[in-house]
Amino acid sequence: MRKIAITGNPNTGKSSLFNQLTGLRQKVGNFPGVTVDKKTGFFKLKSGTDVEVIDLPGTYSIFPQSDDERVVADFVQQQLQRPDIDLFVYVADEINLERNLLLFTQLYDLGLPLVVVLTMPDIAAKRQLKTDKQLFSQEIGGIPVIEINGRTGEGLDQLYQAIESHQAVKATRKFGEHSPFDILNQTEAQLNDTGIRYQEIRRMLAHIQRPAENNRENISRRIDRIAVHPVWGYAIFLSILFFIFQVIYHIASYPMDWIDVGFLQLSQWTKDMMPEGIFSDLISQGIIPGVGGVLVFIPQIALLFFFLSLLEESGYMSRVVFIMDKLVRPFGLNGKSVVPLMSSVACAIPGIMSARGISSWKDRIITIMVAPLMSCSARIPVYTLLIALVIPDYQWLGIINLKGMVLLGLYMLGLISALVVAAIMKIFIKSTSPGYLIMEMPEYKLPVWKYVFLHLWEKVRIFVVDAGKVILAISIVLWALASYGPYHRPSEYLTEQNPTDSSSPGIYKVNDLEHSFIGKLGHGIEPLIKPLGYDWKIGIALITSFAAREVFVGSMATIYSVGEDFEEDHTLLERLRQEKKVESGEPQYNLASGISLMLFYVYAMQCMATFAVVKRETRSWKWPLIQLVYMGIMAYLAAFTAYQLLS
Amino acid sequence: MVFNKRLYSKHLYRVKYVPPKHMDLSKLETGESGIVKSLQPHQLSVKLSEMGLLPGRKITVLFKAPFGDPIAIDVGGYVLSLRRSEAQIITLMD
Ligand SMILES: Nc1nc2c(ncn2[C@@H]2O[C@H](COP(=O)(O)OP(=O)(O)OP(=O)(O)O)[C@@H](O)[C@H]2O)c(=O)[nH]1
Repeated sequence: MRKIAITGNPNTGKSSLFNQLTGLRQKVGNFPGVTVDKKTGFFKLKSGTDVEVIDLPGTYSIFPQSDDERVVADFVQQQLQRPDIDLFVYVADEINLERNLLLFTQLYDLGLPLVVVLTMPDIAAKRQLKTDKQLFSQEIGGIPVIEINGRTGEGLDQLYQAIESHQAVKATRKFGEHSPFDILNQTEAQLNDTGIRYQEIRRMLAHIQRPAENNRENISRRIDRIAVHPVWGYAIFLSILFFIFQVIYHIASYPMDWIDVGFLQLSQWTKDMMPEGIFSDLISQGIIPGVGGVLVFIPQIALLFFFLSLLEESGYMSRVVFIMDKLVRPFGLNGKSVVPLMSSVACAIPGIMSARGISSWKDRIITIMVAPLMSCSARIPVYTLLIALVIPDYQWLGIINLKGMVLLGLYMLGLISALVVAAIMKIFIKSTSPGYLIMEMPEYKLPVWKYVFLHLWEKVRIFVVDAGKVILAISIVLWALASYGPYHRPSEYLTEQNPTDSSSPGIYKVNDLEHSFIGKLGHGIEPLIKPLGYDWKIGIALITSFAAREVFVGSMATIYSVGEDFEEDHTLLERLRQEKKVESGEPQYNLASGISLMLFYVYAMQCMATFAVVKRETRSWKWPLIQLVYMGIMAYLAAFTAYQLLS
Repeated sequence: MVFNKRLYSKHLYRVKYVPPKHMDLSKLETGESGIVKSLQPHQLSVKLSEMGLLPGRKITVLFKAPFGDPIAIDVGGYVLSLRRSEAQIITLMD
C-alpha cells in the first residue's frame, strides 16, 4: 500500500484529479480537531499496488489563515516528524504558475517527496502559453513535472508511472530564506520570505515559461460585466434562485411522495408478514418509517446540490459572493453565507451542508445557526393550514389578498429574524482568525457532469450515513413515545368523569396518540403553553412535529380523527373551527391563537433532521443544542407576545 | 484621515490644503492601474502577499461590485476579489 497526498492552491483541479484517480472509491472523514472534511480515496496501480490518496484542502501557503489552511500546515508538520506519505502530488494551474508555485517552494524547501502536476493544459494551449516541463524539472532537482487535463484525465498514465517508480530526489536549491515552520508567528519575516520566494519563482519562470499575450479580453471578463452589474447582476441571481426553487418545489415532491408511499406500504407489509408483538411493531412502525424519514429528504438535497455544484463548478458562485458581500456584511455574515441561506428557503439541510465553503469559522457557524430561521418548504403545509383556518378572506383592489400577504409576511419575518439574530451572534461569538474576502475569482467554465454527480453523491451519502443515524434514533424514540402509554386501558382512563385507571402504571401499547406518553406530555405542558393560547392537543402536535414541521398537520388530523388533506377535503378545517375552549366555550382557533401558532413555527427548531445535520457539520452537540434552545425561546416569546396582544 | 473643514477655515485658510500623500488600492477607479509600493502592517498583509500582491506588482481594477465594494483586480493574469477595507492595506506608488 502506498500513500499519496494531493495538495495545491484552491481551484487548481485537485478535486478533479482526485476524482480521476479514485472514481467512486472515496470516503469522507474529518481531520482531528477541526470541522474540515478529509477526503480519502483508493486506486490500484498497473503493478497491482494499492494506493491511498488523501485530498488536502486547497491553500495558498503553509502559513495558516483559516481552519482549512491550518489542516494542511499541521498535516505537513506531522509528516516531517513521522512521515507516512510516500509522495505529495502538487497540483498547479499551468496558466497561473507564479502564484501556484509559492506553496510548492515552501514544501520543496521542507524536503518533502514531491511530484508536480500541471493542470489546465488545454487552456494553456489555447492561449499559446508554453511551459518547458523538462527545464522546470531540472530547476527543481529532477522532480517529475507532468501535465494532466483534470477534465479528461489525459496524462494520468505519467502520474501512475511517477507514483510507481518514485524515488527520493535531493533538493538542489532553496527558494526561501527561512524554513516556513521557523517563522510561523513572525509576520515581518513571513512577508519578507514570501517576497523572496516570489522573486525566485519569477526568475525561474522566466526560463521555463513563455508568457501568453494577456491583453486580449477573454470571455470571462465579458460575462462579468453583466454578472456583477448593479442591476443585471442581482436580476440574474434572483432569476437563477427563482428557477432553482421552482424546479425543486415541482420536481422534488414526486420522488418524495414515492418514498412516503413506498415506506408506508413496506411498513404495512412487514406488519402483515411478521407475528404480532413488540418486535414487529418496532420494525414496521419504528424503524421502517424512520428510515423513510431519512430518505425522504434525499430528493431535495440531491436537487439542490445538483444546482449548487453547477453554480460552483461553473465559477458563478464566486460572483454571487462578490455582489452579495456588502449587503450582508452588516449582519455578521459573509458573501459566502448568501447561497447557504437562500438554499435554506427550500430546505435547511442542504443549506447548512453547503456552508462548508465559508472559510471563516465564525461566519460559518453564524450562517449555520440562523439557516433554520429561513422559511423552509416544510413550513408551508403548517402555514397554509393555519392561514386557511384563522385569516379572513379579504381583498384589496381586487388583487392583493390578505391570506397571501400573511404568508409573504411569515417568509419575510423568517428572513429578517435570521439577519437580526446573525447580527447579535456576531457580537457574542469570538473568533481567532480575521474574517476576510480575499478570494480568487476563477474563470467561467463548463461544468463536468461526472464531477457534478460525484459531488451530489458525496453530499447525499454524508447526510444518510452521518445524519441518518441521529435521525433514525430520534424517530424511533418519538415512535415509542407515541405508541406506548403509562396505563393499560386508556379509553376508560380518560373519560373526564373517571380520571383514575384501575390498572397499575407501566408501559402499555396504546391505540391513539392521546393516551401515549406524548399525549401525556402534551397534557403535561398545557400550563406552559396556555399563555400562548394552546391546549394540550396542540401541545401533542408541537411535540410530534419535532420530527418535522409538516407532521403538525398529520398530528392534528390524527388527534381529531379526520383526514389530513385539508386542501381537498375540508373536514380537518371544519373540525378545527368547531373546536371550543373547555373553560370559555370560545373557538380554540381564533386569530390570536392562530397567529401565535404561526409565529411559533417561524421560530421553533422543529426538525430533527436539521438538528442531526448541524451536529454533523459542527462535529459537536453544543451547537445544535444552543440552536434548539435559542430558537425555542424565541418561538415561545414571539407566540406569547402575539397571543397576549391579540386576545 | 478626516479633514476638519472648520478647523481649516479658522486657522489654515491661507494654506492650501494638500491631501495626504497616501495612495492605496481602494482609491483606484475601475480600469485604473497602479504599482504596489508596500503592504501596511496588518493581520492580513501576509495573506495578501501570498496572493501575489508584492512590491513592484502592477495591478488593475477590473470591476467593482455594486456600491463599490468589494473590488476585483487583475494580479499577474488572475482575478482577485477583495473588500475595500482589505484594499486599503495595499499602498500604491504615486
Ligand atoms: N479546462 C480545464 N479545466 C479544468 C482542468 N482541471 C480542472 N478543471 C476545472 O477547474 C475547476 C476547478 O477544479 P477543481 O477540481 O474543483 O479544483 P480544486 O483545486 O479541487 O478546487 P477546490 O475544491 O476549490 O480546492 C473545475 O471547474 C474543473 O472542471 C483542466 O485540466 N482543464
